[in-house]
Amino acid sequence: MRKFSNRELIHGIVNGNIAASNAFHDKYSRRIIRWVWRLLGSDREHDDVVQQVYTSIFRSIRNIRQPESLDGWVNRVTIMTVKYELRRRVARRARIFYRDSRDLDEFRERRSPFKERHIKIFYSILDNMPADDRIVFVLRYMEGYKIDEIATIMACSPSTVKRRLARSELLFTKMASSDFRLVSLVEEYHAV
Amino acid sequence: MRCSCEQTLTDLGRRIAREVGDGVTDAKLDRYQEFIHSLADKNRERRAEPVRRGGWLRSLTGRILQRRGMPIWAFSSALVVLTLGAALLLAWPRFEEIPVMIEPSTEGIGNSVIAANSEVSLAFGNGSRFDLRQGGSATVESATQRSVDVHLENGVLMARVKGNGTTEWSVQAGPYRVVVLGTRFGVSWDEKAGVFDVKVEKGTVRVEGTRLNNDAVLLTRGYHLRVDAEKRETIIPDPNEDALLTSFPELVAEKRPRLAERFSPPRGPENAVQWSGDAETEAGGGAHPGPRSDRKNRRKGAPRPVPGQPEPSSEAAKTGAAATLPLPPEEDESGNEGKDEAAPILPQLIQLIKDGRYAEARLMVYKIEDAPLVKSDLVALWSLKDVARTAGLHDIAERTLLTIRRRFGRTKQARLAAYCIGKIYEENLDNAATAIRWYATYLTESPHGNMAEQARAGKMRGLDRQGRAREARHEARVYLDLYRDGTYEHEAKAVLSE
Repeated sequence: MRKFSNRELIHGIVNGNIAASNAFHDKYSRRIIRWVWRLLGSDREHDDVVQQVYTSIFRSIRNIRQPESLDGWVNRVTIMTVKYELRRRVARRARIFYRDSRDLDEFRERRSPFKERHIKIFYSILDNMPADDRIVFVLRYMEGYKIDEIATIMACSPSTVKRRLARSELLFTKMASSDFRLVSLVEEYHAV
Repeated sequence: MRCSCEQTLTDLGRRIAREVGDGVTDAKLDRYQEFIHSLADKNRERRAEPVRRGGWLRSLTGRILQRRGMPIWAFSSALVVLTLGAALLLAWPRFEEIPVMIEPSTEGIGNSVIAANSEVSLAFGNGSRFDLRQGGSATVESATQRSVDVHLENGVLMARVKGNGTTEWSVQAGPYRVVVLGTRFGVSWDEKAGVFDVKVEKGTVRVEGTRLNNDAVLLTRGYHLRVDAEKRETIIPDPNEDALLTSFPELVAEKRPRLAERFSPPRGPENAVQWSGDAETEAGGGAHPGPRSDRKNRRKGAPRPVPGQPEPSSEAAKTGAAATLPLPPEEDESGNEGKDEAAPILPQLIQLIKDGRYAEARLMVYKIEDAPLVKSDLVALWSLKDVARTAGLHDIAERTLLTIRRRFGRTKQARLAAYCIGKIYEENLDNAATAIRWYATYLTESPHGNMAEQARAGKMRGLDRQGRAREARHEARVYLDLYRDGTYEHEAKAVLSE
């Protein structure tokens, strides 16, 4: 397959070039899918969010002025889309008939009930965090990014990232210590 | 702690990430690739379309119109109305709120205050204080820099108001409204009996109410107004028999000697005062005509005194100076309002003011329900106004001017009276808000009158004092347009330069 530079990639996508679109897919799709998957907690709406990310990217890629910033821009679009989705969920959760769709995870059957429970507990804690704090927490501890990298992705200062991280850590440990299931979860992993 | 926590969370995060996976499957990748192709096709189509200016706006409005089924003119009108409404909302003047503290705080719920067990105080941010006596209840309707309105639902309220000339303080009690002009006073309202009392300790208040004979009663220091639901009367407080005074013990204790002195009847035949209406005459050494017992008898059907003859006042003479006031003059059934009878009153009133016997003059004006004002001619009323203003009796002056406006509404003096009232409120009563209203009235009635320049300048000053900068600047601009080399040119320029 032909290798596209960032400039060619942008130009190709703007003009509806299929080869350029495929190159974009190969380069970014896995990362976008993974981030959305891990940030949201693997649920039914994952597909919708990923498609929303693609739509945003393909609609506004023509606005990029510096081709070398394409990577960072794609990351930011992904993060922002997930952030809006998380905020929408907070509003939806306030409704009476809202039903969490996390149970419909297609990978559930592959896991043991014990691990499934841990994942549920973990994401139930994340659900109580503000969207920004949650994103920082996941990028740091699940994706393993450094503070500076997260700051670049989130388009904020490292000190802001540290502040959000400290807040999310505090909330996580607080909630973990207030629930015996979570205590056992943390202790178990701590022992490991 | 932080390190161990961080390590734990890192381990935990990695394990969870491993369990959760990355969500990538071949089926998903294929599905997304198809989706990306469709997006690329769209981009290609979009590229082929000619670029039109304002296309996004047109497509947006078109989408809205299509969805709502709305014609374009209706949409445009709605958009214009919305824009104007938003602009109006932004430009609408906002007044800062005055903080109100309820002491003790347990007695207040929101803006309502109930003094169930003890006295409750409303402490305002500017130092003013309203004390609600035990058993009373009140509500703070509004507390802004423009106006503070307190609704006394029941009970006794003692007020100590620090006026700044810009805030209008008022207490609503039943159908009555006490407008404060910088003062200390007490209000009592018995909801069941329908009895309303105001006692002014310091300063001036204006009492308004639908059940009062006049539109408003101006009460100054030492005066006490009591209005019953059935009867209407103004009473000089009598410590021996006025039950209301128990409501204001500290005021009575301070005021008693002064009141007695102030309302002592005129001595000697040379100071004889002829009362209007019933033509009651008070002669040397006598007390006020019509003590309460006589009045009660009269209500029961006792024959009225013969006009021109002094009314028996022995009981009043026995009880001393403080006594109840006579009845309001009743209208002659034949319709002959005694202008001739009232005519001699006014020169006497003017003479009393000139002699410095203000209390007696006030008595004459207030206690006989404006009879000398109502039944006098324009020239005499104008003279009374001048004398009253010179003597500093602004309440009488205002009352006279209001009478002039009411009775001689089409005359030049009636229009000028509006300006004079505005001036009284601005210079003497320190109430810019009311002054502005009266100046505006004068300017409406006589836009090119002799005092139009002064009225416009007064209005501008008042607006400036109230902090309504935009309106003040507008007024200054109008003033400079009309009176280029006017007396208040510098003042107007100063307002504009602020």
